[in-house]
Amino acid sequence: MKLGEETFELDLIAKALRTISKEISYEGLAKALLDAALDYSGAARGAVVLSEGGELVAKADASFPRERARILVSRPPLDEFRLPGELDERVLTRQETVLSSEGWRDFILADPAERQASGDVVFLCLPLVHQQRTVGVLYLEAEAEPEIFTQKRLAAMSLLASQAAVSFESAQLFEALRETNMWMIRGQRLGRMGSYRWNTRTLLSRASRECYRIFDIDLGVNPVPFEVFGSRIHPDDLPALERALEEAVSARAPFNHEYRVVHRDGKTLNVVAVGEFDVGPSGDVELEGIITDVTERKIEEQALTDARVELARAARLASLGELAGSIIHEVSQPLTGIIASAEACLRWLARDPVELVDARKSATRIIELAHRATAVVCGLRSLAREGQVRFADVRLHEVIDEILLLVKGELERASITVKTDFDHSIPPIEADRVQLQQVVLNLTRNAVDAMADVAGRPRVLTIASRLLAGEVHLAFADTGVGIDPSMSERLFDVLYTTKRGGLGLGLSICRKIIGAHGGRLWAEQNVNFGAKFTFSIPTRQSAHGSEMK
Amino acid sequence: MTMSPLGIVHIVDDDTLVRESLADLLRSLNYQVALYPSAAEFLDNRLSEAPACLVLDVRLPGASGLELQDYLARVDIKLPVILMTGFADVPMSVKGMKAGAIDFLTKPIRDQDLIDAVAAAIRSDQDHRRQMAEIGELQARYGLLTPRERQVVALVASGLMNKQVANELSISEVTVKMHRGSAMRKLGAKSVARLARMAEILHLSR
Repeated sequence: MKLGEETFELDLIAKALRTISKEISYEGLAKALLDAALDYSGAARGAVVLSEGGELVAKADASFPRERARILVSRPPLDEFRLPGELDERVLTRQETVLSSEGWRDFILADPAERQASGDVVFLCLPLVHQQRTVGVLYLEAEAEPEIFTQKRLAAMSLLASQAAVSFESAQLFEALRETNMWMIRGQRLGRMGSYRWNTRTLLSRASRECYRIFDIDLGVNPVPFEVFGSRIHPDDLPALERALEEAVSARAPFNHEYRVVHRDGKTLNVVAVGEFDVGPSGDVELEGIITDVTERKIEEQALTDARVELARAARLASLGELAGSIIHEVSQPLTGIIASAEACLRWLARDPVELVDARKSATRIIELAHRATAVVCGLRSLAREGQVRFADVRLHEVIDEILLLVKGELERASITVKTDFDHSIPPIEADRVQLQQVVLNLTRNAVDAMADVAGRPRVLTIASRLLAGEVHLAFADTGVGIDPSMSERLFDVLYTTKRGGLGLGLSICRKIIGAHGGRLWAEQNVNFGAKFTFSIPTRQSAHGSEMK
Repeated sequence: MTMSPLGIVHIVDDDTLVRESLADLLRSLNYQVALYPSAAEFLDNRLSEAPACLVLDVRLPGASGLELQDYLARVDIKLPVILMTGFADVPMSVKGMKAGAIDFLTKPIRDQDLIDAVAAAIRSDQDHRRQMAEIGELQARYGLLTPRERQVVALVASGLMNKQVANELSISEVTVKMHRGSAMRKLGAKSVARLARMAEILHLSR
């Protein structure tokens, strides 16, 4: 063989190797290998069969490639490719290269009619082996020309085959990477969250595809300059965001900020960004994290809040209905009696002779019933009373004991223990007894309600009295759900309620009453759990008859 | 002047003054009244044979009015019931009426409504009692019939002609006529139509 020819052959091999190594898909790889092998050997026919994901032949699977081969390219094109049993064993299992021997008649690719005419045919069957695994087969077939599969060509072919096997492995890795990446993209789209990395020196960001969607930035903008990012932030939210970023950068603290994003079409999203600082590959400090689109969650939260408000209103109306119901009952009872007795009275009087004794009894009963109805109305009026405060000397602890007796059943049903911590040096105080009772009752009931959902710790109401600088302080501490510090003033608003069945009147009434006594009522978080409501009133009133406002 | 009472009105209401007022009104109308503060006390009482009705408050301590009504129906005491309530809701009224209450009065009750309801209830009880008495008497008369006469009555009442009855029982038509005549006399039936009606009341059938 001349030198030029050898160079030419080497060149061919090098080209083939390059082509093969460029391929990253299974099918492209199989085609490239087949084309190179046919070109180089001059064989007339050939086929490359690749196993499924390389897994198939991890163990010597005798059935390969008959049932599970996935990629088949052949010249001429075939739908099916089967290695005869003996070949199968030698090539796939023992990983031998088989060159056709004399007397072999089972050719796979040649047309049977043609074959008989042309006489002998030779073939070459090469396993594609990578890391001890047979990942495929290269099969070539040619009309009988003994020199077609020379040792040298065989060696070159082996080289091609092993390069193909390596490329095959790369293709597999590439495929796995592509799949992982698709998962991430899909996962981020479904979760509406994107990942980003922001360089705090260059102010450039790199971000996943979902970030581009969230911020309505074209995919071509990469990396994203801060101005582009900033232009999508709601103008009202931008200063706060910049401040938060600055603070986080200077403290290198974990970043967590919620803001609004405005798309070019005006659509507004709510997003939450979280991140942590680290030093990037360039040596710059970078913020890496996740941005989540919480718009839908916000809408749902709003709907939930609306539903709660609506429910609370309905409950308030329902308890008004209940109140009306019991008032109706209280009034209709005596009315029924009055009507019946009055009618009876008339009938006794209409008798001949007049039944005076019965008539008088009827009339007496009418008066009695009318008094009862009046009492009901008076009771209602005192409920609605907005009038003067009637001061008298009141023993505070007596009032508390009375109320505790009144709500004893409620406390027991709610499994609440009451602890009292009284300062017995407290003198009788000048107050409106009924109104003070009302306050004590409301604060006790509040505590009961606050502990209704408590599990896993004792339900304890501690009532403590103290005498401090001419004022009595009475505190109601519960172990309930506690209060949101930002809400501690709203609690006293009229019609503000956190309770399901609450009217939102209790605390506002309490504060009004305590105010009329020249005192204060406030709420605070209890030491461990729950809330503490305390009121203070002076033991003596400076001026009598102050009006409730 | 005293009149014989129109009937007995049992009043169950836990509110003494209301109970007495209602009783007062009904007494002035010549009803006899019996008062009870609870369902249990009403049940302790033996009911007389006179026409009567029950005026029952729904909201009672212990067993409610509706529960008492239920109980009476279960033990087959067919006393007409008038229900009263301070605060009627529709489901409760429906339940009461379905359980056979004559009327459902909402407090405050207009006197005329109560008077009308009680009158209707007493009338209904009288009708019922009369019916029961008639059935009792008929059953007594039926007891006087011979077995053969009973067979004949059942067949005649089911619409067969004398001849068919004779065939059925394998006796002569003359004998059928004789049994039929005798049975009608004993039962006090003046016509075959009347006899058929009696058979129906007595639930006689072939």
